[in-house]
Amino acid sequence: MLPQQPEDRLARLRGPASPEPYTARKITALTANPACARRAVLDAAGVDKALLATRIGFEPRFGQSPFALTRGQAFETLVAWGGYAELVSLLRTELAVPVTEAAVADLTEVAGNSAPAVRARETQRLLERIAAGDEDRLILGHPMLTLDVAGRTAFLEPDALTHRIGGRFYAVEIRSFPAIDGQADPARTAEAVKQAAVHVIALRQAFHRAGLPPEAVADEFLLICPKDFSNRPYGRLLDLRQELDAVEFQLGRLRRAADLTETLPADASFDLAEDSAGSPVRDAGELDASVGALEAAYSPSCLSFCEMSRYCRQEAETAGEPARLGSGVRNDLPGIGSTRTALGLIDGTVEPEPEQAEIAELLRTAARLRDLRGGGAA
Amino acid sequence: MAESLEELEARMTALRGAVRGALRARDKAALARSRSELRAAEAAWHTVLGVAPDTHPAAPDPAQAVPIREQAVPVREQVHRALALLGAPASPKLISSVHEAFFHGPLVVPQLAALRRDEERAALAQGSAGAVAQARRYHICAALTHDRLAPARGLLALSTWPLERRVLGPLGPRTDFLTHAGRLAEHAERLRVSGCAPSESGGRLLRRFALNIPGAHEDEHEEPEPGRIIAAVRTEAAMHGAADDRQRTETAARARAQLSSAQQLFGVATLGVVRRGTEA
Amino acid sequence: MSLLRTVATLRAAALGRAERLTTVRHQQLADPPFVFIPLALAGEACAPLAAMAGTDAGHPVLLTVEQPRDRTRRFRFAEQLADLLLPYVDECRGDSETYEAGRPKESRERFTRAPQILVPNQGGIAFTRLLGRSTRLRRTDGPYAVAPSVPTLGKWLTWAADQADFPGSSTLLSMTRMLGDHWATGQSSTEDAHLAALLAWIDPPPGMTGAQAARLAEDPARHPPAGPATDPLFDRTLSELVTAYGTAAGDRARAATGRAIEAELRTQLAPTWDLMWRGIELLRALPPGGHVEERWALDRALFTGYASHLDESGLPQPRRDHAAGAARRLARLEDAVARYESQRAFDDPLVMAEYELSGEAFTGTVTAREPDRVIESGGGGGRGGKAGLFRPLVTLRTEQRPPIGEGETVLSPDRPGQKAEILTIRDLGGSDSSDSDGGAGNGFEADIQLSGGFGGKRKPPAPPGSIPEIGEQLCYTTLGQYVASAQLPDDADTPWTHGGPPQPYEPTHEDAEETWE
Repeated sequence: MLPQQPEDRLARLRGPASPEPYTARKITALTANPACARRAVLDAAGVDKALLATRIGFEPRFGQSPFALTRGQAFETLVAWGGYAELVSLLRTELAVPVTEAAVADLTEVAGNSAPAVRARETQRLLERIAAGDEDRLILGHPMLTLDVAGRTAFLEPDALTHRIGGRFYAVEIRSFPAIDGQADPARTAEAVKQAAVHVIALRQAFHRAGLPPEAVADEFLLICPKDFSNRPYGRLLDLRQELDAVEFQLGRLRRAADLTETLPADASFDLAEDSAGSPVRDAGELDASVGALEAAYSPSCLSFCEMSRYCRQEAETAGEPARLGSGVRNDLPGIGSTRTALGLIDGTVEPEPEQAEIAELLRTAARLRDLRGGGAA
Repeated sequence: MAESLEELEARMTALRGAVRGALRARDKAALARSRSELRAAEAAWHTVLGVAPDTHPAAPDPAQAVPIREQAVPVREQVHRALALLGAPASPKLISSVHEAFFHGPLVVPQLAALRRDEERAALAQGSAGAVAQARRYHICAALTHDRLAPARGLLALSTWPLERRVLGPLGPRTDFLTHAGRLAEHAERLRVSGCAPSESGGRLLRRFALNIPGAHEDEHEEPEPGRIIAAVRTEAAMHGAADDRQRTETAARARAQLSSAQQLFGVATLGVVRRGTEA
Repeated sequence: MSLLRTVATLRAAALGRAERLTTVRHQQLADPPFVFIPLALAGEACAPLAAMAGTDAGHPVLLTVEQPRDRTRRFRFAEQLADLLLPYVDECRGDSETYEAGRPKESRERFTRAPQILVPNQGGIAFTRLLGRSTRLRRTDGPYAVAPSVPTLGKWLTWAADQADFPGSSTLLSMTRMLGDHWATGQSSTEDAHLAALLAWIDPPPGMTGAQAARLAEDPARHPPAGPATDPLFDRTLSELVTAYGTAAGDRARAATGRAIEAELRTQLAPTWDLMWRGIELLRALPPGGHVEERWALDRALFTGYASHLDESGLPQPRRDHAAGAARRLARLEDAVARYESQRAFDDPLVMAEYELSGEAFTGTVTAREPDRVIESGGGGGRGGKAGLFRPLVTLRTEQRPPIGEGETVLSPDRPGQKAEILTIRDLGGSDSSDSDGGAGNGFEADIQLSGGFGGKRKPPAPPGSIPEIGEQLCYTTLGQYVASAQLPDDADTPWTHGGPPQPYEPTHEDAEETWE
């Protein structure tokens, strides 16, 4: 028998549903927890993780508020208003772009066609013409870039590109969280930086395909967000180098996501389809067993972004993984793989391995001190 | 026994919670059930209150509702006068803002977006493309992209404009923006001379333009000055003029040579769109 | 995280119930505190959506903004909040007392009460800061005028948020941090940020372990988030109602929709209101630590100072701190952190245990004492009729070798006014290294020389009780000997490298008219 193509295996795991798109956000989520094979495989297979988690009894507890959605769209519309008038002003005042520069391209659709592949071709064509000096654009609105992720083509859509700051190409990310007195929320800025890094990598690949020097893409990007409590856009160039390295490294690992499926049993499946009667073709038990067969790397920070996190938390708790109590506890228990072992070492019911002797002694001292000084249950 | 208003409202709150619960659990059956119970409760609530449920759901703001006399003016007429004032292709949103600022109240944006397709159908229904322009005094039509001569996304234009004004090269969005700014500033200036105070929304709109044109505003918080805007528009427009004109002339010539007169109004990709639209 | 906390966390996880991290309460609880639970509109910089606030558990006041995107309504919300908070602040300005402070000592006045704002979590503090920032610079005249109470509210909120950076301050506190400082749960700190889950561990309902209760408490249908972020699914309900409010046909329908919005927001806030007061109750049940009153006195003095600043110039805090102000603030902050940490240890043996573990403290039992010991003054050995120094000695027996070396100066939390010096440490034998797991052998002895703290006596006998008795257990530590931070120049002497002397901040037109969209 011929070895199975990895993409076939991923598609088969997903079942007949069309794959969930691979967004920049998903790619950056993987870089937040690179050791997690579970998420890597589910995303590579394009599985609807929220639905999967719900089916196995751990529905995700987050989502997007319609208010946040509206606000995000309204701010982006505002920046794009009047032929990107606000963005043009910003480039002129903050980044010394001359007033003669004002050409824009709208890549949201190509003659009425908004299929990602069509837009990606158009974007690539325009980039090549600009790079060859045949065309000039101050702003490319909604370009479509492609990136090969785990054998699948991810279509990525930066908010805009500009190539008129010092003759190099910059990704532009428009976000609706505010910069108040010049300070934006660090966590959300960090997320924007990560996504920009993914976009820049995709842009460099586009340059590479066109035989153009990837250095023409800047390792900074322009972050645009509302100023203070207003709707006026505020822009700043942010450095990307560190994130570019991190994301590139993760993407390198990601290309092997298909290999991670090799550990799965032959009958594993994440098929979430329903039959004509509306009942799932795979019951919760089958799905649960398949998810369980993929190795996860749970940490409490997963709870804020991963749809599967509550499932993984339960699993980590059952296994007594110290990491589920946070990195502090995990770091305090070097060489101890389970909270049960740690407790056993404290009360003397578990004999320490030689390499655990030192930490066991420390734990016992700490526990004795707690008991002597009045610690106890609430 | 009929529920009291309080009981009804308490039940509605509980049902909204049940809807959320069903959404969270992705339980379609429970969702449908809770939703229909909520709708029934809402209907009962409206009855108890003695009001008809949402009479005009899409009205932008009851305080700014279009006066009765104005409602007699067809939408295309309203769009026409906003576009005639703006002097260049514009988005439904801008058309609505201009109508609100200088005429009578905002327009319903989705309705405007559908207008172009309706106009196109009407034009085609009139058969012979040659008769298009004569049949109606004007059409609300498309702006054309310079490369594919396709209808530019989300823009409305007037058929009475020469093609040169309806095509959109790379500099087009900017020069059209400057045209809009200049025309609105001139209008504001005329209003000022004739002793009319500009409306608040008019001032806001003008200020947004002024803030984005070099030299058109002094202080972010001063009232925009029409004369200053007009001068600034001229200065920047002169910088783009030559290149933009060349592009427009070339594109318009190509369109005249290659397109039917209906296509010249609505662009080339449009037939497919209409066919899809009518099949649906 | 310290190993002691890790042990507590492990045990809490195993037992399914929170473990105490302290034996006393380390924060002041004002009587009454002002409880403030804000909700913000998702996606906006600082758009208040609703709040539940007040000083009486039985009488929460619900503030709502039916059209959260409407600027005028936001300012009305600020006005309503001001109507609640400012009278509370004013009430604290009733009685005052005189105290001595400064160098040279001078008499000062401070109020006997101070305001205390309690919010559910750190997000609540951030929201308070933003709400302060968005209201304090407003003008009360000219275009975009707001009610006079709005900028005053902004100044107080900003002041409170600035205090919240100092760990010893009890002016603006988050319930999750307070509870988390006093109890360890069997879950991670990420999960502890959820007030309902945290409280479930500490105080589970009957018939349930804390672990089980915490899982249930995470369900947004049972316990809506404690703000300022709302449950995204709830936002769907709200968004429909807000739209209906805007398009309602007639006043009657609009009023009814307004009522529905209020009812919905109440469902999101009321459970958290109850949790806040339950948390207050649990914390009140803990005896206060020895330094709590002293730190609260500082809070009261700072409150008094800011109140008179508002009476005098009333200028708002600037958008950004002046360089010198920032440097001074940082120095004060470092100082405050060190002082707070050591006071906590002095007030609480369970906190001191951390320092015993890290080698900065040890505990032993008094086995011998020389209460009348007098030593020669000066090192030269000259006697010449000079009176000797009164230096009693106690000998402490410990199990482990005291981690603090001979010659070091130490203090004891049990006798904070008495300086002590470790003279000698003796190994009593039987604890050689070959016997490492066999316990501590015969233990160790430390001779400790005391000076001061004898009720002003310079020669024996010392007043009874001023010298430790045989059999008494004592803890000695190197903590508590703060070094005052380097003196920074006064504002007026700020060097030009740091921007020169600061100019008082007058809000500009831009500040006053800043859009709040």
